[in-house]
Amino acid sequence: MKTNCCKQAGFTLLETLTAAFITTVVLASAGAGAIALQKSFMGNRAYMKGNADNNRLIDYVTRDIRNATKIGKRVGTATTPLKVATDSFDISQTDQLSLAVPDFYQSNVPDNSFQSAYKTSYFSRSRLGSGQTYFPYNDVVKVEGIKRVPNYPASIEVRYLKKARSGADATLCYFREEYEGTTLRRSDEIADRAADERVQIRVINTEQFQISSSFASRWTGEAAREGTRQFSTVSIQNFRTDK
Amino acid sequence: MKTQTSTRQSGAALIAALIVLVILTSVAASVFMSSVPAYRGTYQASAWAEAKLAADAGVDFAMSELQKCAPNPRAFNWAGWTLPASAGGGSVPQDYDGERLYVAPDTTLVQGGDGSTKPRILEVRVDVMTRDDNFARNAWYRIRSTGVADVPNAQLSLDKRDLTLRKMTLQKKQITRTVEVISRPVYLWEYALKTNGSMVLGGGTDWRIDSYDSRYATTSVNGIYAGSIARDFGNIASNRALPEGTLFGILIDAEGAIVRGEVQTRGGDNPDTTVHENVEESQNIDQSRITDEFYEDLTEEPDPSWYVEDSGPTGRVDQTGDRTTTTIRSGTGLYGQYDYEPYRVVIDWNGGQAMGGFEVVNDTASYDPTTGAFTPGSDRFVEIWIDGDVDLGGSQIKVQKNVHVKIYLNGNLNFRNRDINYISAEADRPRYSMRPADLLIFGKLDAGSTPAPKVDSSGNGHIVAAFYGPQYAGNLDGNTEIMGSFVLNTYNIAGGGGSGGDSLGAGFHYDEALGVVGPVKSYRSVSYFEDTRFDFE
Repeated sequence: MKTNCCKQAGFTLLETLTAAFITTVVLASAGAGAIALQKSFMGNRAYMKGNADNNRLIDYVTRDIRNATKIGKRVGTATTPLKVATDSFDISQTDQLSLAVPDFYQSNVPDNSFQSAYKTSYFSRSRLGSGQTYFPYNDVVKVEGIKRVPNYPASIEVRYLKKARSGADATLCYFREEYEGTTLRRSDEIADRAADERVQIRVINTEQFQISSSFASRWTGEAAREGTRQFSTVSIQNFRTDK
Repeated sequence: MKTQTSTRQSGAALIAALIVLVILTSVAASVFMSSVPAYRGTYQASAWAEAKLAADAGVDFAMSELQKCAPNPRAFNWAGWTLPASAGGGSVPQDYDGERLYVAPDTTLVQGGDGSTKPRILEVRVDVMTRDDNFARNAWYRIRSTGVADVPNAQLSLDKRDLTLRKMTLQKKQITRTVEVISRPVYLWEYALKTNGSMVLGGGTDWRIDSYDSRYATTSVNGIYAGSIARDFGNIASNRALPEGTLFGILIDAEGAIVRGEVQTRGGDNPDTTVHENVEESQNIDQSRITDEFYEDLTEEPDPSWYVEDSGPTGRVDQTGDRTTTTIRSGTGLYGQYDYEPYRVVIDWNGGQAMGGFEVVNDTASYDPTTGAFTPGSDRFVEIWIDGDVDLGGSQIKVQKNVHVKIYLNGNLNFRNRDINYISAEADRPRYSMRPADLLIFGKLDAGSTPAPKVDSSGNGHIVAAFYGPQYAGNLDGNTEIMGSFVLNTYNIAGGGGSGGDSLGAGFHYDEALGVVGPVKSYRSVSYFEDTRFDFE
């Protein structure tokens, strides 16, 4: 009886094989599911990152174009004004977007870097001379042709470009750089892992521009790029001096 | 045996259930960890955009206040605005240069914003940045408006780079954006020629529209136009619209005239063609300067504050006259010394007959005709109300040096072929103005008058003046040379195209100095800047 009993407690070969097969199928399914889920999460994260990057890139560029007095494409050391309705280009390391933005504020000491002390407006009322209640006309106003426009004390060149993060890190990133003359005053990395991201500038007319951004993550591929595209149309709000 | 088997099966189910629960919880947690920062980022970006819209709304509010201050910003009462606490608070004095403040009620913006961002105008500040370089010293205003919007929580989104751009004050759960706009006064005569309706230019090979600047030696000869140094700012524009349903077609008939300036219409040009359908016979116009985006509300100028048309003058009158008056004084006293406190002259209607020419004298100048000794007087400001027509048959209008005249003409005007504020004799020129900014004429007849208000000329006269009458039909025929600017209902020329009276050149020669004279018509934004100085907390 005991022997019989012990034999009954075990499994037959068929039972064992069946159990092993089922276990294998279940584990394989769970593994495949987990891998698919992981891929989905990664794809989702990549999509959200790309979307957020697109959004940020467009917001940066539109803000600066709105404030600009010049807009051009910089290749090498030459900047060509963007003013022909068919002009368009993708921002890259060689083809950079160059904007001249009025410099309303005095430079800080030592520079205008991020989180430096607040800057002072050239035309702050605290800078009025004794007995003055407004600034002299010729300090504030400049005549372009017969148009009377503000006489900005100086301008800052803002460049957008795509380049490696550093010499040691080849990750392609978008950068926004501020130059005072030829001196780089500030450089902000505004989107990283940008190899598959594209930011395109297109001229609508001399005052209006369309900015579009898109990406193709390794999860979704080029086929899905169009579905990621964002657009923004922006007008220069100031008198354009390079048209 | 059965009991043992049953117990073993229950244990397996529990473990399986726990495993499934852990897996599902992990999946759910992963989903939330991925999606919540993205959700947050979306709403932060939305709040950032809403804050700018709120700041722009504050600018719009200030701009609407500035439009109300025309035509005389000095006299504007800034109701609803206060001085900031640093300046003692309280109401804003007239003609004040310092900062004034407007705090909008929370209900000003009725739109709640996407995701309950509740955009609102935090404050709007306006101050005088500079004043025009003219007699009136009208203000250029600087507007600084701050908008604010809420963000849902104090946590960052996917990427800290968003914080650098959007400068969120997450501890306060809000985003503020500040916009700075500079606004300048717009004057009545910033173009050579503007019409509400049709515009037909002069034909021939010499009739032209160009510009000069009487203020500078390099752009004029003793303040007078010269073709050899003329400039390219003889801008013209028409408000005329095409019939409803017609998109493209002729709105200005250029008749082959030379126009050295912008030519603007209200629509009419097909962007898909290279030709400009809106301007006929434009072969002598720079094609790149023809556009079709003009519109301006050209309305009649109000009466001078000291004169009410129906009841006559309500204040001081320094000289009265009638149609026979040939000398108008400018006085020597306080009245007439300033643009805002002019010497006041009323010429009454007299038997329905038109007034002829006259000379506005500078009572502070001296001239000895025997010796020719001349001492120019000081600046004098004269406003003249003429209640009737002016017809210059056989006479002319002269304005002596340093006298600045505004004529309010409640009638029609016929220059005929006479010289207006223009002296042919070289020897006499130093004693006279010959600047259009010194003879500003406002047409005051109602648009509905019968017959319709009109201003005419013919022959080879010179007109050195600026005329504003958007309800007047202009028929400035012949070879009339105009140095100045005209704003009319319609403009037509017949027989134009000759070389002009003494070869200065027939047509319009816009004096760029007119760009800053006369009353303020409105305010216009000339600079827009977002102040991004403030780093986040």
